[in-house]
Amino acid sequence: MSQTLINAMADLDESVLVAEVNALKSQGAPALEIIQKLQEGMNIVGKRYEEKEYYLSELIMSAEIFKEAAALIGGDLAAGDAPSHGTFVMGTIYGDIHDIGKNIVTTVMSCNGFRVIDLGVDVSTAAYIEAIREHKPQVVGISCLLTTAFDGMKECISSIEAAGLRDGLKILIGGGPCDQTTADYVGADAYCKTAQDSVEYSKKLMGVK
Amino acid sequence: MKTNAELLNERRERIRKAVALEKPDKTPVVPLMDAFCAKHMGAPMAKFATSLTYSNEVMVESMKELGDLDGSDSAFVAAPLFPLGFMTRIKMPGKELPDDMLWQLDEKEVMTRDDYDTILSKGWPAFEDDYLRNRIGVPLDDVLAELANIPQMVKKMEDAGYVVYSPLVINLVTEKISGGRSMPGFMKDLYQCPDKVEAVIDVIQEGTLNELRQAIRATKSEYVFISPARGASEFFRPKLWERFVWKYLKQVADAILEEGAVINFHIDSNWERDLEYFKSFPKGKCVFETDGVTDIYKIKEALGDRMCIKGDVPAAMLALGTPDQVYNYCTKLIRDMGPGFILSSGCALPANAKVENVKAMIAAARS
Repeated sequence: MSQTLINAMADLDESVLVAEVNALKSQGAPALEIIQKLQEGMNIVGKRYEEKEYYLSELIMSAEIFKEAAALIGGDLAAGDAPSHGTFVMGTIYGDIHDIGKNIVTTVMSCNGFRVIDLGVDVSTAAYIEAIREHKPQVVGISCLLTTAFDGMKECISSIEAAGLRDGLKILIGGGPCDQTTADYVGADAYCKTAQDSVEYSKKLMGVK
Repeated sequence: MKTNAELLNERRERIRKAVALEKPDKTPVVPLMDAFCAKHMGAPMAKFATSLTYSNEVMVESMKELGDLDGSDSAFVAAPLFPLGFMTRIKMPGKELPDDMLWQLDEKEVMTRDDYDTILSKGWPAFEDDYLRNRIGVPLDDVLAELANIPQMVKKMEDAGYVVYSPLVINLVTEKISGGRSMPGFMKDLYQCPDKVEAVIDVIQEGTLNELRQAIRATKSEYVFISPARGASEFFRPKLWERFVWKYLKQVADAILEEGAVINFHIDSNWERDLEYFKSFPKGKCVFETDGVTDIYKIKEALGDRMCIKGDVPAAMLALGTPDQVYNYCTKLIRDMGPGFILSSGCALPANAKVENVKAMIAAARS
C-alpha cells in the first residue's frame, strides 16, 4: 500500500492525495486499507501539531482533505471502521454556541487515533446522556466560552452521574474561561488548557504510548 | 471631596502615565465592562444588549456603585456592533435567545468564495452594505443612528468622573473575512486560493486605513482599540500568520501611531510565539491587553520595557472565586508587573462575576 498516500495526507498535499486515492481505487484496493493509510497520515499530522510544526490552520486542512478522500472511496468516517484507541464524545454545553475550541479538540483527538463523536454546540444534558449510552465512550469532553455556562456544565455532569453513567467514564472540560477551579466547581475529572492536554490525558488513561 | 471633573483628570493622568511607562500614583483599573453591569444593576439583558444608549446609562450606574475604578474600555455595549466587525450573525437575548441570556455570535459560513470575486469586481463598500443588510440582517440604519450618540454617551460617563478608555474601535480586515467565511472556511481558503484571499484583503485594507485615519482625526481619539483575536499565533503557521495576519495588523498599527494615538491591542488567545514582533513599535505608545491565555509574565518579559500591559484577572476567578483570592491575585500582579500596568479583567468582566470580587479587584489597586 502506498507510502505516497500517507505522505500526501501528512503533508496536506491535496492534489497528490486525490490522485493517489483514485489510483488505488481503480487498482481495487479495499476501502478500509485506504482509510487506514489516511489515518496513518493523520497521526503524523497530530504529531506535527503536538510538536508545533502544524497549527489549527493545518488541522482544519487535514480534516478537509481526509473528508474529501473518504468521500472518494465512499467511506463513512463517523462510523469509523478503522481501529481506534477509544471513543471520545465532545460538545459545547447548552446555552453556548461557540464551536472553534470544540472543533480544535475534536480534530486533534481524531488525528491522534480516537473515534470522535461530535455532538455540536448548545448540547443538552439529554443529548450527552443519549450519546454516552449509545457510543459508550471512555472520555467525554465538555466545552464552553462563557462563564454563564458553568452551571450548565455542573448540572450536566451531575445528571450523567445520576443516570449511573459515570463509572469508568472520565469527563474533561475546557474553553476560554475554564481553569482548575471551574473543573472542581462543575465536578469534572480534569481541566484541559489546550487541545493537546485532552490527547495526553486520554492516551494516558487508555495506556497508549 | 474631589469633584467628578477632578477625579476624571486624575484618572486620565493615571492611565496616561501607565501607558507611557511612567510611575502613576496608583495602578489604574480599567475593566472591559458590559454584561456584568446589566446583571449588577438588575437591568434586563434583552434591553441592555440592544440599546447603546440604555447600556451606557446602566454602565454608568454600575460604575458609580463600584466606586473608585478609573474607567471602562467602552462607553456602551458592543453587541449590536459585533456583526459589523465579524461579518457574522448574532443571536440576541429577547430575540433568538431567552431574555436573560448573553448575546452570542452565530458563526456560520455566510460569505462564500464567490463573494471574493464580487468584492474584487464591485469593491468592498458596496458589497459590505448589501451583505450586512440583506445577508446577515443587520438593522444598519438603526445602528448608525445610535452611533451618532456616542459623544453624549462618552460625556455621560465622563461627567460621572470615569474615563472612556478607548472610544474608537477599528475593525480589522482579517476578523471580517475570517468571521464571514467562518474560521474553517477562511483557513481552507488560505491553502486553496491564497492569492485571491490576499487580493481581497488588500482591497478591504486600503479602505480600512483611510477610514481609521479619518475617524481618529474626527473623534480626536487618544486611544484606539483593535482586537485581532482570530489572528492569534496559536491558530496559524508562521508563514501564513506573517502573510495574512501580521502584515495587515502592522499596517493598521502604524497608521494609528502616525495619527498620534495610542494602540490598545486587545489580544485574546495565545500569541506567545510572536510576541517579539511587537517590539517593532515605539516605546510607550501601545498597550498589550491580554485575556490571560497569553501568559502575562511572558508578555512582561518580552515587551515590558516597551509597552504597557493590561489584564488579566481570570473570568473563572471573578465568577467562582472569593474576594480574598481576587485581591491576592491582583496584588501580586500589581507588584510583579510594575508601573507600566493597567489592572483589568481578562477580556470582558463576566456577566456572572460576583460584585464583591470586582470590588476586591478595585481595592487591590487602591491599597
